[in-house]
Amino acid sequence: MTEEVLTIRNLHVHFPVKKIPFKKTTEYVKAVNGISLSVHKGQTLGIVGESGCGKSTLARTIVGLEKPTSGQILFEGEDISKMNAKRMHELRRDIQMVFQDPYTSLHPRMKVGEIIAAPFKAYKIKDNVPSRVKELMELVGLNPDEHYDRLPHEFSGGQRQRIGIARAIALKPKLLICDEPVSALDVSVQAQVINLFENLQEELGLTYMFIAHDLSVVKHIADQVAVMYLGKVMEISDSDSFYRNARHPYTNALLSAIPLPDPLQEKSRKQLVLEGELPSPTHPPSGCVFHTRCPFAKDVCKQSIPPLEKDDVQGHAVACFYPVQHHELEETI
Amino acid sequence: MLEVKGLKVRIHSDKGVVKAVNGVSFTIKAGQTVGIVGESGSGKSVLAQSLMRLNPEPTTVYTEGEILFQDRNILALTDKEVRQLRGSDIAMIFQDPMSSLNPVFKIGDQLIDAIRAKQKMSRKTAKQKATELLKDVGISDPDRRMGEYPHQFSGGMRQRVLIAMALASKPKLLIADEPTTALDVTIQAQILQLLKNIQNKYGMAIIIITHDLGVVANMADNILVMYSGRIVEEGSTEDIFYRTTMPYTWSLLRALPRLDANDQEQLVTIKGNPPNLLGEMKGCSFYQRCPFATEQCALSDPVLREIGKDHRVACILSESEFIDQVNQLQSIQ
Amino acid sequence: MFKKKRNVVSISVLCMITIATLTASFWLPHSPSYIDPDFRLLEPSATYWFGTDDFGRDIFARTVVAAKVSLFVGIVVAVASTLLGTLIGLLSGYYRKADFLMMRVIDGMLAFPSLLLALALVAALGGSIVNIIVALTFAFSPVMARIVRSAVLQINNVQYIDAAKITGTSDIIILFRYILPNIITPIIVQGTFIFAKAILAEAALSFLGVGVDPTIPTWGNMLQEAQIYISIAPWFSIFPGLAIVFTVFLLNILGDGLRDALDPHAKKVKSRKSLLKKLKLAKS
Repeated sequence: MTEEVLTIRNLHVHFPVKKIPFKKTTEYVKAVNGISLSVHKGQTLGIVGESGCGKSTLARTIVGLEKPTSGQILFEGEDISKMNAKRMHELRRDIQMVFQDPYTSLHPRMKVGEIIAAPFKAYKIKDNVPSRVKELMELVGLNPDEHYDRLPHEFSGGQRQRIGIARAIALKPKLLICDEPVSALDVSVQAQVINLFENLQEELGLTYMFIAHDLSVVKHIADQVAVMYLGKVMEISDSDSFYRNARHPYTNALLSAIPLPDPLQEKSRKQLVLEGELPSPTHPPSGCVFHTRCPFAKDVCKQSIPPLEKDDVQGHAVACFYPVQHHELEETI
Repeated sequence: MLEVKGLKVRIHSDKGVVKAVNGVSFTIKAGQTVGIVGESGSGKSVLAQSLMRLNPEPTTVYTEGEILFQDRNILALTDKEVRQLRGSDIAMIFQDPMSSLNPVFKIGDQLIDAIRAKQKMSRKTAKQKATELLKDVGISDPDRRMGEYPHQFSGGMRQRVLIAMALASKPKLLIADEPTTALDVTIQAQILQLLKNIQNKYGMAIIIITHDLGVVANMADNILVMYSGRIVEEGSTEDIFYRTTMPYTWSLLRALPRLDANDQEQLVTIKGNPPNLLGEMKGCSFYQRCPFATEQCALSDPVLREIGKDHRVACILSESEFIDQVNQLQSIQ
Repeated sequence: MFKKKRNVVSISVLCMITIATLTASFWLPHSPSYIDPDFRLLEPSATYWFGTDDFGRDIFARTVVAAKVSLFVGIVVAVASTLLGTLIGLLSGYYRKADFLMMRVIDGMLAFPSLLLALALVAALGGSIVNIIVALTFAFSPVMARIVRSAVLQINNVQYIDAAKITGTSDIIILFRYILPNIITPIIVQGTFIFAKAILAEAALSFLGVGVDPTIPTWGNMLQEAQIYISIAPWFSIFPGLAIVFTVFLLNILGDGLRDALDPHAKKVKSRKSLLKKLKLAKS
């Protein structure tokens, strides 16, 4: 495996619930609650989870929009949270982000050319910016001559997302955090943007952290997949092994909840429909956070926290006392 | 039971007249589940709202066609008659359950009011009925939860409450407009399961409007595929998924990232962006994005034509021509 | 902004008033300071359109000339308090740590009625035009700061601000290039209202005798002089009073008009209305 670009060690990000003046806050939303993982050079780590699992907070913390409560974020071996402002500014060139909503992520009164040129401006790069912007536009599939002077509202969702991607890759970042970049797009446009991500990775040797709630999108793009639930990583594995041999009950529930666009398969397969809803991240359940919804939970799950342990398969780790064996799963449901 | 004949809907906006629905005809039989699939801007939501005349009047104009529900033309009814029809014989649930509930009233009171608005009964019996309905939609401990406010309910729970409200009058037709789009996959699976269960119990017909082909694969008996305000394909679920000869449906199915795909090959994309419904329409609306388009497509407007039992397609390609084209395209790739 | 008749009328009338008062010495039939003891407290007539005051001076001429001071104080206070208030609002909305302290100070200032605050300041500083401007600027900027701050807080969560931060854009550029252009509408509208309020406040201060030097004609000074004659020479009070009402009224109309023209939401409602009108016409 290639070298690690990003390493996260036991990261916690907590937000105080409500600030009452002159009173110390005692309640915290534990959005990210002890996460360790790493992203390897030139690869794509997919992060999957439902809303409220902390995946967006994780992304925002890595790019410096939120402050970690504790733990380390190492970028090429250097701890981000210990950097001074100047080093942080330099580092931001290397970690960029693509946002979910193509409608609010672009300044509504700036021309496309200006939006893409903004990173150059921020780093006081002045030589032939317009031609570099045009190159970028071509790279992401926009028409430089026609689109350069237009305003964002003249574009469709897919094209806007291309503008956002061009801005993110303008400074040739080493790591690109993609926070649900295709979930707001129509199916017919989604495929274009997914392919664009793949092509850019090949051409520019980018490393991605690709956050999504859609496991089938992640399957397409990721080399490694991590599943998050209530601020914790439940399972992390190479993509192949992940989709063929998911071990965590939650992962299996997620996989079986996705409706397949194939009526015969869909009608014949057995579904593991989860009961109940996500517990509050302010008061996560004791022990394994998933035990309240887990169909296989036993007493020990309520009492102690299962560590994220390497499975027998290489590169596959799961945080569960009773990981699912596939032949058993069939029998249970 | 429901028959739509040549429906055309125009929406007047400050940018011009939006040709939202352009000559749509279909029928729905009692107890059937019909899926209406389309991307944003395909007119599927406007069509659904038209069935209950929920589009804001007078900016929405129904220029042509009829909507016959049990042999009465909904478009010709008085406002009072439409109000009676809404929420009695036809009920509807929406994408965003929060905006359909009043945030300052308790869930129970809203549900009881909804029941008593349609049937004369005492508050006490209405309360009993409300409890039963909530049990039917899978809300545990209904007596306690009736005293809570909408914000105390999660997205999935709110959608359950709305389904309960819709069921209050034992409707013959339930229109579900993107009922699970705002929900997480595990919750989506629960709601879809619930819709199936209540259909078994109450025996109503369901129209489910969605952009997600996976959702209808599991739910629907018949599917209507919409594109730029027209039905471009109509058939049984198996017809649509396995025997389509409509280039749009075919491309859409191949553009979908699939969980059951074997390898990491690139997705097949549909070029361009969905059409603008403001402009003049001439020829096939999919013409510019279609991989098999010929010059003729730009000129003539294809009509729905029968290619199998109850399977209709709006494309000038015949079945054998379509297969030839597909083979040709695949041999190039 | 110029589409609405209302806006065009109010802007052009305000411009006319400004031009009239600036060029007053060239066209006024009587000098505003010429004292004629024989013609004291005359009723309005063909020679003296608005009548004369207790020194026999032409009230029309004095009203026109007084507009210069009133409008000058108004515009300077409007611009100065907009600048100051916007700066405070931007900083406290963007830097959450500075916010707590700044907002407590602002809250304290808002606790006094702005006129009372200005009165106290002028009383302490002494009544000159400069001091009045300083006092009124202090009195009106807290309101502006509040408005700007809440607009910044709203827009601060929008993704393109995050995107700018991530691309390494400096805070100054984010504040002035990303945030300010998107909150300019409420600032302009509020600025217009401050203009109107400042004219009123200046008149009130002068009327109370703590304002501009009493020898300089301003609407407030004129009213102050006129008050003892109100029963025998009502025109002495009525015309400067009407001048204040008229100008403030125009400015308020302009403020409302600007809000409608610049606010996209109001635009939607308006265009929907005109659309409905069109449709109704089409139907009949």
